Amino acid sequence: MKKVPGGILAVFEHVDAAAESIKALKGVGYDDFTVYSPVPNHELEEAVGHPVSPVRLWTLLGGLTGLFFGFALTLWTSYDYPIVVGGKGIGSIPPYIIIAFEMTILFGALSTVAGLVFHAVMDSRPAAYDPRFTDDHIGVFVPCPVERRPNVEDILKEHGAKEVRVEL
Amino acid sequence: MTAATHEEIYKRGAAAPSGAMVGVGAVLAVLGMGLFAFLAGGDDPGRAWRIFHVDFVFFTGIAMGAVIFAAIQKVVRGKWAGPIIRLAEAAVAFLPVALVLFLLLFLGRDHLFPWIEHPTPVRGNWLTVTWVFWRDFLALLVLFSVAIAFVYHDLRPDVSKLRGEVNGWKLRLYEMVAGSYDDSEAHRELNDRRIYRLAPWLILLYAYLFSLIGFDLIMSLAPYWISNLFGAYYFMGSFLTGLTMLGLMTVYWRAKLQLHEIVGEKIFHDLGKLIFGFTMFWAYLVYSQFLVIWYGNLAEETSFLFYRLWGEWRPVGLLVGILVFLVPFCGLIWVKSKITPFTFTLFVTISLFGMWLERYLLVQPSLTEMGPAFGLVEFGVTAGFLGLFLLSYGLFARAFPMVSPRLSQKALHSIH
Repeated sequence: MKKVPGGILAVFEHVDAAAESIKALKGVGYDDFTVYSPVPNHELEEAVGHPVSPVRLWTLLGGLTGLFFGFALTLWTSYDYPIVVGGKGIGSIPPYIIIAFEMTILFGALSTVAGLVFHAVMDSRPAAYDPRFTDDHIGVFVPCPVERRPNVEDILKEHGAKEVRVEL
Repeated sequence: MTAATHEEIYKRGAAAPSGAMVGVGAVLAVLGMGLFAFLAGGDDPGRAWRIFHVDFVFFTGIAMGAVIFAAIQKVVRGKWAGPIIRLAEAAVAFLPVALVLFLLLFLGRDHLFPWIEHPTPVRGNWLTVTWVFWRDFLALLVLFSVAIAFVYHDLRPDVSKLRGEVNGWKLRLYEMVAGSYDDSEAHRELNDRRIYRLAPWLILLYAYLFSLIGFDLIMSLAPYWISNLFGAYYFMGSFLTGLTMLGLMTVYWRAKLQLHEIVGEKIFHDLGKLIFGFTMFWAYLVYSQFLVIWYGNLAEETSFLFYRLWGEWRPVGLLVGILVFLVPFCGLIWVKSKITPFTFTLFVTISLFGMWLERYLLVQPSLTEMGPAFGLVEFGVTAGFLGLFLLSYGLFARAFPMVSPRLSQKALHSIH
């Protein structure tokens, strides 16, 4: 496990206060903070923004690999041991599309899970925590060096943080 | 994003500038239908009737598909489409016209239905003029009546609310539609209950009766070819055309009524996703039918595909696949292309044109030895139908509020 970096942990009671703080933090250039919420919330989601997930590249590559593999498997086995079935050609594309399609889904799904696990482990961002974040409070943790802390503290307090504490 | 600007938008919605649409529609309708009347009395009435039939199934499908989109939103309690739902419901105005066009179709029956000249004893009495036309007429009548009742109930609260904004004939119309409705809690509940009861019935009737229409009016043109999937294929394709029409109308009215405040990127994104999804569904239906026919390799089944995918019709057959599936699939897969009005319009138009070509491909090869022909006859009559559609849609827009205050508000509340 990575070590939790030092920074400021703010506890919010209200969604709009938290959303405003997030926007203000982004406004002055912080983007590596962590937000906790007990329930999914559109306002917070919007404030945090939607970074493009790197996992989708895994899905695409996995899917294309599966597509290729599906066609390769069916065509190769057909020509390797040629038997005429139902009067069709040896390598008949129409039914192989189904195999290729299903391999696309299978490989795409598996590589998505793999990508998810990979990025969850590699890109994890340890952050300070408070059990109230699973109950009825919203949390924002901003990792920052000692000299910037007063500034961050001011921003969070100004936008209505109920509690702000320093995490070493 | 203030409440005041929203009030402005609702007012504009009640006075939609429909002049251009009505004007263009009227001109196209008169020219196109005049041309059709001239051709139907000329040397080759068969060609005119065939394209009439293609356009009938195409445009009726659009109008019904769009209303079904509104009904589905009600059934699933969807709120996001609130600001644009009236743009789908407005297509209901074409339904009475469609019923008249169906009666007109009766006059051209000898040019269309091969089983009239060569009866098909294997089908028993299923394909006889009396039985086919009566059941289809009743099916359309019932379906259209339920659709109109559904839209009527969805209109009432809005018309009642906007009574203060209009005057003259429009006020009298609003009074008539609103009737005793007065926005009290009891009335609202009763009205909502009716909407939520009509919507699922409308969807079920659509699935059953449009299947029947598909079997009777398209599949019976090749009376010895049978596909159980065909009914579903026809009404799902119609639903796709309804969605694409709604997409185009959203782009048009958003600019015309300045709806940017309430019709944002999100609506285009969602509509784009739906169109993308049903594009795939269309391809899935085509492929699943193609595969079993290819595998079974029975002469009475393959003939239908041979006519359409080999020989003279091959280019049209391939073009349909490219325009309805390949281009919209590759085009609308990106978020950016869905939320940019230009690319959205482009791909949606391609899909809609592709679906028209698909209807053409379903009808024509069954009826004529002639290869694909696109001349004045085809474009003229199609323009006439387009004109009738725009005219009835435009008249609806002239008469009724095109933005629903209560549904838009619900949609905006659900975002926050």
